[in-house]
Amino acid sequence: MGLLAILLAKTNQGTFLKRIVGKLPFCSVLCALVGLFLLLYLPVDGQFRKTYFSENALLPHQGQTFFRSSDWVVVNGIRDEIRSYEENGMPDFLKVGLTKNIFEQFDVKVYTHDWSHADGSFGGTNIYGIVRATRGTQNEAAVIAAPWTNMEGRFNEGGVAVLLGLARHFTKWTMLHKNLIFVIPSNSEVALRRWVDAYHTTLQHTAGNIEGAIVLDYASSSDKFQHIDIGFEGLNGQLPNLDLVNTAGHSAMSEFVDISILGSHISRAQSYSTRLHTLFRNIYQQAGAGIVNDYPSAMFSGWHIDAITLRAVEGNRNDITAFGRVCESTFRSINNLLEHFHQSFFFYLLLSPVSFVSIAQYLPSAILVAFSFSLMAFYTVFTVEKAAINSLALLKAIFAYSFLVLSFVGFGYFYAVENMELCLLFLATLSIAVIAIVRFGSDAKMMMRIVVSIILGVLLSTLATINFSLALVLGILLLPLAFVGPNMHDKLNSVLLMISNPVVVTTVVGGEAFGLLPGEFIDKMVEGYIELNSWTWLIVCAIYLPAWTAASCICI
Amino acid sequence: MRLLLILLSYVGLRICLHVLFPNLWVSLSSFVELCTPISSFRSTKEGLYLFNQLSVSPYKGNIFQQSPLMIALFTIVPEQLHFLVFTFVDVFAAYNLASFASTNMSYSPSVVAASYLFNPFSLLSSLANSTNVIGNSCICASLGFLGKKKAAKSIFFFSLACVLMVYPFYLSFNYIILAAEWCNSRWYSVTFKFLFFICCFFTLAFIPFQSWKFLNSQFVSAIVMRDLSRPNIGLWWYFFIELFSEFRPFYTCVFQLYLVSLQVPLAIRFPKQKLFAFTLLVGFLATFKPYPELSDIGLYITMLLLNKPVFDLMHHKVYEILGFVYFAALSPAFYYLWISSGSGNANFFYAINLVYAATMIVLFSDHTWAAIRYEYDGGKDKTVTQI
Amino acid sequence: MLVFILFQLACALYAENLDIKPLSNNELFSTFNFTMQQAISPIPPIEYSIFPRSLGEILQSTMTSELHIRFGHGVWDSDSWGALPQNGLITGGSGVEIWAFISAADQQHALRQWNQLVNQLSGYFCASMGFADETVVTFPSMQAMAPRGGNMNTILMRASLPAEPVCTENLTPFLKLLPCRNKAGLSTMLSGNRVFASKWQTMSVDVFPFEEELRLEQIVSLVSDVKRNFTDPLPYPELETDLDCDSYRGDGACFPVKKSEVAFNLTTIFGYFERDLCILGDAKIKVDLPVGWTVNNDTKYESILDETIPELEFVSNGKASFDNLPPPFIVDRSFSGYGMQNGGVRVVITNNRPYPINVRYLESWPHFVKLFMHTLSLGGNGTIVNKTYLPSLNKNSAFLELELEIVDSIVLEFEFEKSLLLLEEYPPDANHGFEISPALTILKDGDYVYEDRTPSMLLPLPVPDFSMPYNVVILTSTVMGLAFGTIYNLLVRDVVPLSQVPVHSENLLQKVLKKIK
Repeated sequence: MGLLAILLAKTNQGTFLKRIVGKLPFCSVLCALVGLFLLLYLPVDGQFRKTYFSENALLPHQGQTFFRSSDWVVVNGIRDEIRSYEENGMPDFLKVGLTKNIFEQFDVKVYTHDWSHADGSFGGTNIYGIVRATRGTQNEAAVIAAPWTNMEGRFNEGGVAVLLGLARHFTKWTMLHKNLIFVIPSNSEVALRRWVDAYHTTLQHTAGNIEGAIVLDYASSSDKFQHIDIGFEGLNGQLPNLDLVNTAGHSAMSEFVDISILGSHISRAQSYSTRLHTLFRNIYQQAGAGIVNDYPSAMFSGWHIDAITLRAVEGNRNDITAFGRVCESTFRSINNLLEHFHQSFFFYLLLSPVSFVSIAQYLPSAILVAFSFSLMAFYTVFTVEKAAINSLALLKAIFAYSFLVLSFVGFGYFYAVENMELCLLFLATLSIAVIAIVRFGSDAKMMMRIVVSIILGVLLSTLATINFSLALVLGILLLPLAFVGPNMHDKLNSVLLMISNPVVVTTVVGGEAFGLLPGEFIDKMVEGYIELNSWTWLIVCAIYLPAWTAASCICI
Repeated sequence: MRLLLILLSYVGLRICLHVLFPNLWVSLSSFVELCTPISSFRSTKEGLYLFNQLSVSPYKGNIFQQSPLMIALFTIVPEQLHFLVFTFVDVFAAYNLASFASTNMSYSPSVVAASYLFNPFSLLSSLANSTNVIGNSCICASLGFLGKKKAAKSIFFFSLACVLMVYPFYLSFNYIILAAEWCNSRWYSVTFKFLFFICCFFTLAFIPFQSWKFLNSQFVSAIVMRDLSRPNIGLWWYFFIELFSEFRPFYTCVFQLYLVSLQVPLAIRFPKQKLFAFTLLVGFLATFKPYPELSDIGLYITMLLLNKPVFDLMHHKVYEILGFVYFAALSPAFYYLWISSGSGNANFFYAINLVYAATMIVLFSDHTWAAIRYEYDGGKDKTVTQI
Repeated sequence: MLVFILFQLACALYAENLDIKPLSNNELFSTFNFTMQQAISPIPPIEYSIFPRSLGEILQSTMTSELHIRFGHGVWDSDSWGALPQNGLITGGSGVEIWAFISAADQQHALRQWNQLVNQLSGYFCASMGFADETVVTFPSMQAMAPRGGNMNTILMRASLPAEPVCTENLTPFLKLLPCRNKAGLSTMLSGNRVFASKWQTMSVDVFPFEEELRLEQIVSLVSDVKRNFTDPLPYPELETDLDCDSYRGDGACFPVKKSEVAFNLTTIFGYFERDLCILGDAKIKVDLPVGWTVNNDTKYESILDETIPELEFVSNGKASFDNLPPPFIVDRSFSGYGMQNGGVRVVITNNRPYPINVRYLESWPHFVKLFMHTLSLGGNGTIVNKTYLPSLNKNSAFLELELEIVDSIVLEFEFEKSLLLLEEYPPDANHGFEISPALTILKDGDYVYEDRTPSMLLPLPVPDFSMPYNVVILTSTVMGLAFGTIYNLLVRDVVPLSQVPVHSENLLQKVLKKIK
């Protein structure tokens, strides 16, 4: 283009370019810091928005809620019964059979689903009951689920009791447009995930497309709870539509129940620090999805199902039927929908139950962090000698890096599926690539540095659009690699490489953030990939490990 | 020797991939960048099934929109060896490009062959079994025979390309004058041979189903863009989906005119650089035709290497490469966000289409300026810059 | 005058039937059968008396020898309720289903007559049957659906509209076809409120020649939930005293058990209705009770009514046993796969008979579902005997008819791809999804015929952004203009070195500026 050529010619003529080039490393660090600062600036008053409803059909909490008075008595009776199963240490098959009986008492059609782990071993039995809608074409469904054990491993007696109480309650309804599926999976992670997968592949008794899901978690044996905690993060960066989260929040507040988001502060007490805390909990939950502490609603990810978890936090403020009423009111709004959730945001960070930031405000942080890699690539391009930039070196670098990435991905994949022969094969190709890179000439090593920086910039920006938190975290952890190179100080190189070393990172991040040993951390990531379809492990193998390996090889 | 090594390693790679992942093509054909409704191998298989198993003409349905010669080809070749067709076709194309490169001012034959075979765009398209690669390799074959000055064989392959893919017809004017110059024959003799071969191939295409329906299903569908079922990397699909149907005929004519209009001006402006005109048209068509694919762009990039002096004069290659890298990363990501994840909408993917078109515009203007620069003094004076 | 009426009546026949049968789980199954039969003279004008004239004239003008319409709502629970009533011959899948046998020269003419037929019927029944045009119509084989009148010289055409809502506005014109409308006779028991609050309900209209006369059968079947009729339409919580608890929990904890004894009467189920009978024909009520139930303190009830419709009191002792005949086969159809691009269908047909059965499986798919029949795979114990597949051309539906022999159970699987549509082809609720019509499975074993329809499925399609027509046009045009302009500029302009640029003479403005400086 003429314009581009003129611009380039003018910049090439003056010393403007040379002055800028000298400052590029500083600009790069500044860029990353500005990105992080933008993130910290989001909870300031005026930077976020109050939540609002985009879908007119929802009519949140416009209908009266009916799960009250005698339903309290019924829920208590059911909870008594379920508590006896746990106290008597009943074996699982007996528990399942008795719970099936309870559903049949309420005239709800009940079915079981046996699930197994990825390696084929028997996992457990899920129970689900279907209440058919009386109106509509009956090929849409909503799910209310309550696992036997909640995400912390405690017995979810209140959740299962409220679910059974609601099942009995909804059989009286004549205004159901969506079939209701009540699921009691054996645990809150793999069992529920298997049920959702089976529903869409091999399960025989189904009730149509699932439009929304609510998971109930009430693990205490007390009649009262303090407030409801709403969990919404999904796997692989997916989030439910903001309308569903707002509906649950609005329903709760209309029932005079306080709400909190992802385990942080309740709705009424908000300030900059609480919002910042909630922001970091959002990022933590999204980046660590599939590893540990997943909310059960994350198990619905990947099937176009919007799902949230309602967790009752222990205390003395509201009684158990209020918990049921929040669920009933949220379901009623889902029932009102004609179209799938599509109006409101799918990319957001909730700073409090009533305030959020959308992607246009938070994405620049991750993009700036990714851009700092590109800036360092430009720096290398402009400061290296002209003779070093030749196509052969570039081709060698590109070829070697792609080979390295493919080897790491293969190694990661076959390690996860426990196919040791192919895993070792890929380890061998990996070592070949490593040796080749170490023996490159200096021009190929400079090209490799440029290639790594550019590829990291591209991949991190792409990942930021899919899974913002993972991209941000990976970008920050990999940032030292941008300043590593064969023409830098050896001491600086070694310090930076040490900071971003996978072993060090696994120990620090695993220990501080998740409370896991490094071996456990990797095991959890692999398990997340195999059992839950979370791609964090493969992304780490495709982005993190090759970049660090290539950066350390070129410094040798 | 190096050429043989490259060709053999490609064949080895294809065979290895087929043995390890026999259904890789099914997963790759779900990428819209690599496969379009008129070149998808799944449609071909469906057409084969309808014809062979159910005795229903494939043109009785909407799925099969390719040439009857494809049905003939894939019926003759047994099913397990279908991947060999694509391998052979690629190797044939690379061999021809290499033989063209050895007779002209281009990069060395092995570089050209490697660039065609291992270029990620063409490689992935070929692994996805897109039937466009067969047409593209016919164009390469015609170029190869032009290099050897064999006019009849060259025109044979070019007309085969025209019959298999519809869009080489838009290259025919420039091809005819290119062939006339290179083979030292008169343009009317070339035109006559071209029309003769076209008639032969149409007659051959009539034979499998004993009907001319393929003209409607293949040619008219491709020109009018009847099948809007899948997005692709081009600009037509979203335009025609969002357009009100009263304006469709008008805009179809405008867009087709846009495609047709560049042939003659290029021929007039660059009478001494007919190869450049042909190459630029290949790229232009590859970007702005209704169903573009990455295999067409792969061909264009390789053909750039066939003209070394002009290629060396292109100054913005870095920006173009970066543009392609960002496009290659973001396009599948945004398509995934729209279709699989349901979190994004169609505008995400459309934005990447626009970015891709902008990158191609930079590439075209760079290429054209390089040709103008070459025309001025052959690139000898290094101090000349554009103002 | 009376003699004349009686003479007319002698040539026509009208009968009303009500069959009642309790099912498990506090459900009551009732079938209302209204049959009209009328001699048809081959020479017009035809004297219509009982048979509705308007319907007869519609059929005559479109040369339809047989017409069958089904309105369906709800899902039949074969596990609890057994085989479909009357072997599934009177039930329809969700929405509206029409099939007709039309005398015409070829399919083109038949389609024209069909269009006329459905457009007239849509006004007649207040259902948008006019949407059943050539894009929805399929031509099944006569072996699958044989004409009841036996006239094989006709063309069979079938269309299914699963998204049609079936409600009171369809029931009212349905009842208006009856000689006594809904003013007298058993039809007064049918009120929109009660019929459409049921768990499953179907209305069918069958017109066919029968022993040289024309017969019209109208049947309404429904499965009512008895419990709901005792409570408020709004689900208020019960009074604590009304709860049935098991006795050994403490205060404030009631583990609910199912109410055992149930007692209700016809007014509980059907609401208040007029008791007069229709003088134009006989009405008969038959009650089929399982062991443990009584009606009017008797174990069964069957009688032709005279004077008024009686009140029937049903009592069950809660330990009732039901022996419902299981259906000969069960069909389950569902989608597999996810995402908006590719998908798959999985059909499981289970044979409940001890010997292999031969069934025909019919499906029709709209044009935006691109089926890949080469991926059709059969698992389990069975074979495909015959396969007819007509792919979708332009905007017509694809039609699949399979003849299967099933020993035990089979799993049919095939893949498809979803396509984008033009902006105008999306309905206003585009994100709801598109309904796929139910699949029909027919078993013919000599004289025994059993039909089963799967529930309809909802297919979400990828949608473009509907707010973008203007933006897309201008952005795309800008990019194309940019490309054209850049290349045009480079082609058309003369490229010369700077030194050879001719010097322009100064214009007036520059002269003035020079003077000022």
